[in-house]
Amino acid sequence: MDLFNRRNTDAQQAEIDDLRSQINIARATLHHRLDRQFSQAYLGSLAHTTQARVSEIEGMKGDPRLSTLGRVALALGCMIDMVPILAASASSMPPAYTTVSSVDARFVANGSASHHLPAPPFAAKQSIRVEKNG
Amino acid sequence: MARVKQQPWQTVPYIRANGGCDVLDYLDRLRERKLRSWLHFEELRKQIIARGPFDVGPPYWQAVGDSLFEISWGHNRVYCSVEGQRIVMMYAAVYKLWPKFRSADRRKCESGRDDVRSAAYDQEQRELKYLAFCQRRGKDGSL
Repeated sequence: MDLFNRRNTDAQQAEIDDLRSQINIARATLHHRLDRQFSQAYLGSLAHTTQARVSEIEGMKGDPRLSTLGRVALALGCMIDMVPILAASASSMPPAYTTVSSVDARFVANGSASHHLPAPPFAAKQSIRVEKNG
Repeated sequence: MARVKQQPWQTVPYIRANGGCDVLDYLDRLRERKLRSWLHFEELRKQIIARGPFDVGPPYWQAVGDSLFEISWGHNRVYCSVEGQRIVMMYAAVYKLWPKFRSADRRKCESGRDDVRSAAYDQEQRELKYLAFCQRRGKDGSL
């Protein structure tokens, strides 16, 4: 029986969802640092920052700069990436990628610009012109 | 050389004979008031289970004498001992604003450890008592 494993209230779960990125970064920093058997001070010196800053990152405290996070990640042989969330709770979020090419594809497939699409970028105008010419 | 499969590490809260548990009560309060701090502890606990406490090392895991250890994050301390078969037994949790390991905390840990090492201690029975204790207090001891 794992007595530590409790259910979160809705409010706690919402807060955890908000903190998801910080949790992931803290977890990854701790995990990779321990894998490499680095002390916080040594990792700090490799990343041109301080032991206190590394401790803050691992403890989800403060608001470290992206450049600091980048250097810490690099010192651990990692890099920071942004990945789409696949959880059901993310259904209300906009799609992860809306590239120019996908907007173009919808324009061409429909034959006309739909009113609910965002204002077409410059590339989309070009694709319409190509269609007329064809 | 033959490799012996080792048991995984476990983190176990000490539960008193009446069903009360200082560590779980402290962590419940921490989760209500300082969710980030509780999340940090949970990450540390996962690493302790995955690697063992001695590989987690300082600043999160430190010896405090008399075969007792502390899990330390921020001002929070959980005092533990390592018992047979890779069990991290947690006796007391405090919000520490002083540099020393207080003698009252040490006594609490030592009496808990004596209880755990006695033949009468049965963790499963104590866990059931803890759940009953939570229900009596009107608190959800849900798992």
